[in-house]
Amino acid sequence: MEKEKSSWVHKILKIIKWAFLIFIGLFLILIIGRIIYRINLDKTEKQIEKIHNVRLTLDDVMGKNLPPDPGAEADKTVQGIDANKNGIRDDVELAVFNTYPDSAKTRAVLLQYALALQMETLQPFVNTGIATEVVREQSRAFQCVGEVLVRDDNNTEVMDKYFKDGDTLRYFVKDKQLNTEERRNARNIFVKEVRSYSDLENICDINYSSLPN
Amino acid sequence: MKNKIVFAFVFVLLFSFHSKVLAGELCSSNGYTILTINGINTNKDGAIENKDKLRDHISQGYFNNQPLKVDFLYNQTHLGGLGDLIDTVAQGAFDKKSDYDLTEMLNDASQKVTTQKVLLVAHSQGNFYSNNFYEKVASEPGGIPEQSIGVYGVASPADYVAGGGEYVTSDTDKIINKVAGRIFQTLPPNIHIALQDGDDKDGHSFSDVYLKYQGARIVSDIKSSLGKLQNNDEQASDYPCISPPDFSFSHEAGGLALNTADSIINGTKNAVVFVIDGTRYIATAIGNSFNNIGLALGNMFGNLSANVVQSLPDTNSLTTILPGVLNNQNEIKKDTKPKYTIQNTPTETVVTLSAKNAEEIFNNFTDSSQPIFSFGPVVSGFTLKKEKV
Repeated sequence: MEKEKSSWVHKILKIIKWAFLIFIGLFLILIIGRIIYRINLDKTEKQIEKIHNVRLTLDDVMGKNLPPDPGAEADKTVQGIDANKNGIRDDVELAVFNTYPDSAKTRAVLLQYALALQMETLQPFVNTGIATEVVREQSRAFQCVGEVLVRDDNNTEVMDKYFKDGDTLRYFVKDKQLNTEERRNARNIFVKEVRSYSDLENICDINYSSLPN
Repeated sequence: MKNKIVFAFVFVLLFSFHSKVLAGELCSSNGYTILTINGINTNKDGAIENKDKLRDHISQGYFNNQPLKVDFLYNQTHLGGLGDLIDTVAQGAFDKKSDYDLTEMLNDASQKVTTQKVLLVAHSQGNFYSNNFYEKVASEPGGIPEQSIGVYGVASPADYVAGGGEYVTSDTDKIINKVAGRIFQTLPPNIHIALQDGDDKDGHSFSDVYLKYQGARIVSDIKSSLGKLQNNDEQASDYPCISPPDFSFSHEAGGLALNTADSIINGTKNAVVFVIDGTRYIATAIGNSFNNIGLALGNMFGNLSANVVQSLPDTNSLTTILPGVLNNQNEIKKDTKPKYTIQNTPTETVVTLSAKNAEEIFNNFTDSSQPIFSFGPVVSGFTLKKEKV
C-alpha cells in the first residue's frame, strides 16, 4: 500500500517536473524573441532619430551646389539620382529651380517637401515606426508649403486663392516625385505601414522670412 | 540546493518583468483633437492627404487658444473595394454596428487621443464608422462623455449624424444621391456644388470636390462643432482618454484573413508576409497567455499569505451538493437568514426552505431557469417545501 502510494507521488512529481521544464523552455524562447525584438527596436529608434535630423540647408535653397541634369538615368530606379548628396532627387531639385528661379521662399518650401518625399525611398529598412515617422516629416513639409502663401481666415476670396495656390505647389512637387508607375507603387507599399500619428511642430526647416524673395 | 537556487532564480525572473510605468498627462483638458475617417476605396496615401489638407484648411495648430491636433483613423480598403461595398450595405441597410475596422479604429484612437475634446470628421462610408464609433465611446465606460465628443459628416450616406452633429452633402454628389440614396435612406443634400471640367465626375471626393469648393463652409462648420465641445470632470488626466478595445482571437484571425485576401486580390506578393504576421499574432497571443498565467501565478503567490483565508470556498456561496456528500439530513446556508433543509431518502429528495421571505425565494426558485443550486442525479423524485418563519 505504502509502495503504491509512493509510486503515485513519483508519477505526479514527474509530470510536474516535465510541465515545469516545458514552461521554462517556452519562457526562454519568449525571452530570446524579446531580445531580438529589443535589438530591432533599438535599430528602429536610431533610424527614426536620423529621419528627424534631416534638414534642408540654406545652401540647398540658394542653389550653391546644384547637380548636373541626370537625363535618362533619372527614372531608371525608384530612388533616382542624387549626385550632390543632399537627399533631394536631382531631377526634382532642378525642376524646382527652373520653375521658381526668382523666389527663394517658394524654393525653400518646395525643396523641403521634395526632401521629405524622397526620404521614403532611402530607408535601409521599413517598418511601421519608420514609415510613420517619414510620413510625419512629409506632413510637416506639406504644412510648410502653406506658410509662404497669403492667408486670411476671415476672407473667403483670399482663402480660396490660398487653397488653390497650395494645391498647385504641392502637386508640382508630388507629381514630379511620383512620376513613374514604379515610384507610385513603391509609395503605396510604403504608406501601408503608416499608422495614425500626430503632427510635428516647427513646420519649416528654413526661416523663410529671412529670405530676400 | 543548487536546483532550489535555480528554481528561485527562474521564479524571480518570471515575476519581475512586470513593472508599472509612471505616466504623465495622458488625457488633457487643454486642447482639441480632430480625427478624420476616410470613405470607401481610399488608399492610405489619400487618407493622409485628406487629413493634411483638412489641417491646412482649419488652422495652424490652435483653436480657442488651445492646441489643435488633426489625426486620422484609417478605414482600410478590403478585397479590392468589394469588402468596403459589402460593409457599406451592411451598415446602411442592416444597421451593422461593429466590425474589424471599427475595432482597429478604436484601438488607434485609444493610442492617439490625448485630449478630452474630440471631433470626428468623416467622409462617405467613414460616416457609418463615425456614428458607430460615437455609440461605442460616448458616455460609455472607458469612453468620452457626450459633451466632449462630436461628429461632423461630409458626403454622408447615413441617415443621421451621431450626437446631433452637422453635415454637408452636395446635390451633385452622385455616389450619395444616385447610388447610396437608392439602397438606403440618407440625409438629404444641403448644398450645391457646381462641378467643373477636370473635377471628380462623381462629385464625391473629399479634398478635390468638398474641400475645394466648400472649404470655407466646412471649416466654419468644424469650428462651430469644436466650439460646442466642453471639458468634463469624468476623464482623469492620468488615464487614457479612450480605453483600448478588447482584442479577441476572432478579431486577430479576421484581420489575418482580411489581410491575406487583400494581398492576394491586390496582386501583391505580400500574402506570405501577412501569414508570417498572422503567425506572429498567434505567437503573441500564446505569449500573452503565458504572460497572464505568469501574472496570475505571481499574484497568487504574492497574495497567498494575505488571502489564504479569503481564498477558501465560502460556504454561503456553495451551490453544488454532490449526492455522496448528502447525509440523511444536512443543513446548508444559502444566505445568513434563509435555511434549506435537505432530506435525502432512498426514493426522494426533500428540500425545505425556511425563511422570512420564503414565498418570494420559492417563487424565484421555481420561476427561474437558473436554479439556485444543483444536485447530482436524484433517484426518483424531488420535492420543494416552503416554510415561513
